[in-house]
Amino acid sequence: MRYLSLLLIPILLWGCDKKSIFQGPNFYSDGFELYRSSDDLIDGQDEKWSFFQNTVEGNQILIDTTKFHSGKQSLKFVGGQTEDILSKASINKQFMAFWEGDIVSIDFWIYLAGTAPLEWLFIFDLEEQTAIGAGPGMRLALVEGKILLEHKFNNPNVAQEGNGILFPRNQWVNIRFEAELSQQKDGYVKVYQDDILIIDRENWKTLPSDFLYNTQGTQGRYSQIEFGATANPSEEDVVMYVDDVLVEVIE
Amino acid sequence: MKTQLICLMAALLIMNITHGQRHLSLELGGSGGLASINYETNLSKSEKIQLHYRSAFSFAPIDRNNGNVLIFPQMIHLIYGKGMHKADLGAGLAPSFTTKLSGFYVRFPLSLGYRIQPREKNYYVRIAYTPILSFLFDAQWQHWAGITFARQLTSNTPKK
Repeated sequence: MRYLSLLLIPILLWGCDKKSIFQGPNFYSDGFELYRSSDDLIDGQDEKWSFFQNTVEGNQILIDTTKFHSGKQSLKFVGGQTEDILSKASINKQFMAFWEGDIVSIDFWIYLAGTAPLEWLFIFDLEEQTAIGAGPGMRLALVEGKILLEHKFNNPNVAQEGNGILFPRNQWVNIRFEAELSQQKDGYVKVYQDDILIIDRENWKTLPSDFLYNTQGTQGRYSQIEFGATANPSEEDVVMYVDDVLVEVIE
Repeated sequence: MKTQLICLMAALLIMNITHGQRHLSLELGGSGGLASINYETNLSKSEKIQLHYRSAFSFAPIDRNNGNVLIFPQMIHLIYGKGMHKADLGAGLAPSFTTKLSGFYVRFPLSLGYRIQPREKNYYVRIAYTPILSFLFDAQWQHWAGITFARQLTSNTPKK
């Protein structure tokens, strides 16, 4: 009987309503116009941004007034090359809630300075925070000069079909990432670059699920957005600007 | 909740060490994930229907921030069959935590297997479908399988 009672524990806990436990906003927009310095970005209440990732000495996240898509300011990321530690210079917002079944749209403008190849530079992550695991999710990388969709869970990368379209450098580029979230293979993901559809995958698993014991406690939602040099494994320094971020559930 | 579960697991582990006929086994795949070392005790006296308790250990690397995840599956197995060929059904809990203490979680492994245990030998082999279930936040059923090679630590025949 005592062994049987062990099995009742999960059944009792299963009655919890996860959407009431993991509440959070599903909308955020920022033109970076209201900040005097990057310190103002983190309010400690997660009403604005939550934290920076700045893993290498010399990496910087700054409010910039020299380059902007609209208004008079943008957010500048300076990320050094990776040597011993993976270089990151990014900004995160956590405790959001994009649930399975939602169609989420992430629209932002990005300016990538210079012409260095910056292979496998990651510029945007949509992630879930799990009890055990390494922030599984979807993210965009620059590979062979073009945007590619990578998954931080058991799902293959999605490259552009055919020759693809090169990511323009030294100019503002609009990226719109749209996904119907699903832990099964019935979601979709579309990525637009300057209004041109560059990645389109239907019947696709767009949310991570638990995987053996390496990823545990997935909730069927994304909870975190991350912009900037979210990882720069390349051997080159990166300077990028981000402006006019709009994250919303459109359906 | 976490403390209660850990205490429960510790109590069962102590029971496991102190009673019954024992097997030490290696399971590739299965309830521990990639592979696990298992210690198994027979809790019953019946020959046709046996109840075994299995305590396992496994680990898997995650990343620099999390370190490794340490997994401690605790299973009850119902073994049915009198001869060499037996059905082997198991269920239990698999608490796990990371070496950098960045996370704690419990999953629920099941095992639906076929067990070959020659009467005069001191080993058995089990092939099993071992789905791993999640319930706490999100009901998930992950397909998985395992093969077990076990060696008996105590003799089949009673000492005279």
